[in-house]
Order: sequence, then structure tokens, then C-alpha cells
Amino acid sequence: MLESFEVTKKFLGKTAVDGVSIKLEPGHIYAMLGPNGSGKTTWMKMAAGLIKPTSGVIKYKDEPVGVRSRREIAYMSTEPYFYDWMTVGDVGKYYQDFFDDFSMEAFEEMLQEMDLEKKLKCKELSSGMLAKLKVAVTMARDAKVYMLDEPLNGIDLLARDEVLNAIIRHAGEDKVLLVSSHLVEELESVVDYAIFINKSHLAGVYEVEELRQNQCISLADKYREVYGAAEMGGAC
Amino acid sequence: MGALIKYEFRKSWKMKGLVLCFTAFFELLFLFGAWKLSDDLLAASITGLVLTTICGLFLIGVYGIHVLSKDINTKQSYMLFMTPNNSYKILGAKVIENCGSVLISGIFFTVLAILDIMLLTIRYEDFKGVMELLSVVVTGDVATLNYQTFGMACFDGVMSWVYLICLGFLAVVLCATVLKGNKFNGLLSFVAFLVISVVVNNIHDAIYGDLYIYSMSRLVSNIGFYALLTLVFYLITAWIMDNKLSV
Repeated sequence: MLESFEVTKKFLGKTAVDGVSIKLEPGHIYAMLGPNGSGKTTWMKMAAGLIKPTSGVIKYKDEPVGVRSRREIAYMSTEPYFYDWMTVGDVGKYYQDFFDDFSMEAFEEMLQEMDLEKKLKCKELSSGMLAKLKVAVTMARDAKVYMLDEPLNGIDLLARDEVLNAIIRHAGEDKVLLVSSHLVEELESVVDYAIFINKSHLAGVYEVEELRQNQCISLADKYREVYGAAEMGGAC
Repeated sequence: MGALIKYEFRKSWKMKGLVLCFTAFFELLFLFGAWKLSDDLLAASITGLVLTTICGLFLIGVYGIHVLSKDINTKQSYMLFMTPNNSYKILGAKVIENCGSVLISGIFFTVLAILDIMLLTIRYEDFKGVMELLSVVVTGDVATLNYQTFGMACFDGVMSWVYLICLGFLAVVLCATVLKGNKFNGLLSFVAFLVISVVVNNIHDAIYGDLYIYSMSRLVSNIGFYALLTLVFYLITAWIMDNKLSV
């Protein structure tokens, strides 16, 4: 469904993503893991059609990503991006104006769950409230692919479950869910596959259940193994 | 496209409202002065109206360039570029909204000026003499400066400003794409803006000559020249955005 072919992105001589090839299939939830600056956000932005690869191509339904794929790919950036003058309600109206798959009812429902009022000004929201709003407005779309960049950033421990539940609710047979996060333990129970990115390169794609069953290793331990080079695992 | 234009207007309506408030204030002052036949009030209000017109048109255009710069250089760019719209539509909405605002404001101020002049010629019998003197100074001929020519001359001025706004859009996009990463990208894009405007000015002078004569055919041709440039710069800028811009 969403496939990256030898994608490289360079910024002023610095390579942010280097020859990454991955394939995301519908019906799965993927975690994109890696330390800061490893290239996760850059890859997601390329897949969202916001930045152009230096070389290689990312295809959605066998077509390079672009204007058409944006109709079916819902991307949530880690940085706040709403206009200063907007209220929470305005953000919903904006998405309704531009995305045919946006549901105002679903948005309002999630606002209630997350305790966000429509009349609140975006520029007055705390980082946690903004993070919830970003998740709510993105997940209120009935997209085919959801890409959420650090959706749990700035959200307190209790609210994380609400956000994760809102995300998981949208998983389905015909949908791809890709979530990047540093909070590996939080994602472990919800994702099927983990994509490890290290120093701009793809460090591996692992099925989480297979790691548990065959390698007797948790996702967090695999993370430590990939990035910390520590010996993990053992008898099941 | 309609939604894009709506949100472009939403970004700048406060500034436009402010220009409208100033205009309304000076126009009321003008009407009061015309009613009372007060030279002082008329002089103050006409000065205010002329300044509001010039500053208003200037601010609307420059603010549009500033909004584009913000929309492609900050994280707010996602609000535009994650929507299923290509750069031609996104920039097209900006051109239509911003240049449309300048054009509508220009027409509004021109009509207002014509109505105010008509009012003055009714209230002051010798004002017609003032207008004839103005006509001689501007065109060298009493007969040429009529309301129609005056209106077209204003429209011509507005159209040349619209072309400059589009050139400003191009400079901003060059700064964020081709010149991105260069330490002096802001300065270089400004230099590019100046160089292109000087080249265009020279082409204009080569076609129309230095001496400007306010004939209707000359005005129409001049407006066409600037409309064509506006279209050319829009297409170049949108192409660069579509192929080079990463937000």
C-alpha cells in the first residue's frame, strides 16, 4: 500500500534519510522507532508529500505520493502547526473544508473524551492539550493511512491511554497505522511491527509477536539491542 | 479553491478592516467638510483619504507577501501543504485573494475619489477650474482628463502594483527553495526582486517610451502588459513551488 524505494534525503550536505526501503501493508499497526535525529520525521514528511526526496521514491497504491495521496493519508506532525487565530472548533471546520473523509461528529466525540472545549484558542492551549487536539483532528478522518509523529509527546501518563485508545480504534483491515515514538514500552502492546531507523538508515523491521515468541525478547529490549548494542534475550 | 481563498481572506481581514475604518473616518470628515463648506476640514480629509489609499494598497500587498513567507517558512505550512491541493491552487488562491483585494480596493478608492470630486464640483463652482488646471498639468490638454480616463489611470496604477506583488511572491519562493541554505538568501532574493523589476521596467520603457501619455488606448495596452506579467510570474512561482519546495 505504502512503499518506500531506496529513499534518500539530504539537507545542505547532511543526510537525514539514506536509502530507506520499507513496505507498509494494510491491516497492521507499525511503530517507527529510533533516537532523535535518526530520520523518522523526515521519512514521514516525505511519505506525507510535504518534502521531496533527494533520490528514490515513495509510492502509495503504486503512484508517487503527492496531491492525490494526501486525500487518503492522514499525517500528524509532532510540531504544532495550527494558525494562531484558530480556536479548537476552527481546526475541525478547517479539516472539514479540505478533507472529504473528515467526520465532525467523530471529532466532537473525541474532543469530549479528551476534555477539550471548542471555543478554546489554539495559541492558549498547553502542549498536552495541543497534542490531544492534533490526535483528535487527525483521527477524525477516515483515512487509509495514518502517520502519527510522536503523538504521545507532551501528554501526561493518564491521558496517554485515552490517546492510544483513540488511535487503536481506527485500526482496521484496510488501514495502515504508523506511529513514531520514543516511548517504546507504551507502544509495545499495540503495534504489530517495529521499524527501526538508526543514523538515517533502516536498521530492521521486526514483527513484535515474533520477537516475543521466537527470540524471547520484548520490543524495548530489541530497541536497546539495536541502539545500545547490549546483549538481550535468552530462554523463553 | 473556494476554501483556500476563504482562509487566505481570514488571515488578513483584520488589517483590511482597519484600512476600511480609516477610509470611513476620513470620508465622513470629507462629507462633513463639504456640507459645512469648510476648507480646513476638506483639506485634512482629502489628505487623509489620499494617504489611506496609498498606504492601504501598499499594506494589503506587502502583507500578502508576508503571509506567503510565513506559510512556506514556518510549521504553519503544513496547514496548506497537507491538504489535497497542488501549488498552483495554493498560490492561485493567494494571488486571487491578495491581488483581488488590491484590485477591489483600488476600484473602491477610485469610485470614491470620482464621487467625491463630483460632489466638490457641485458644492464649489470654481472647482471645475481646479480640475482643468490639473488636467493641463498632467496631460497637457484640458479635454483629455475625464472621469473615464482618470478611472483607467487609477486601474493601471493598481495593476502595476498587482504585478509587483506577484514578483514579491516569486522572490519569497526563491528564498525558500533555490536559495535555501544560503546565508544571504533573504538579501539575494531581494536583489533578484530589484533586478527583475528593473529589467521589466526597461522592457516597458522600450515598448511604451519614457513619456507617459494618458490616452485610453495606451492605458488599456499598459494594463494588458502588467496583467500578462502577473500571469507569467504566477506560473513561474507555482512551478518552482511544485517542484522545489519542501516545507
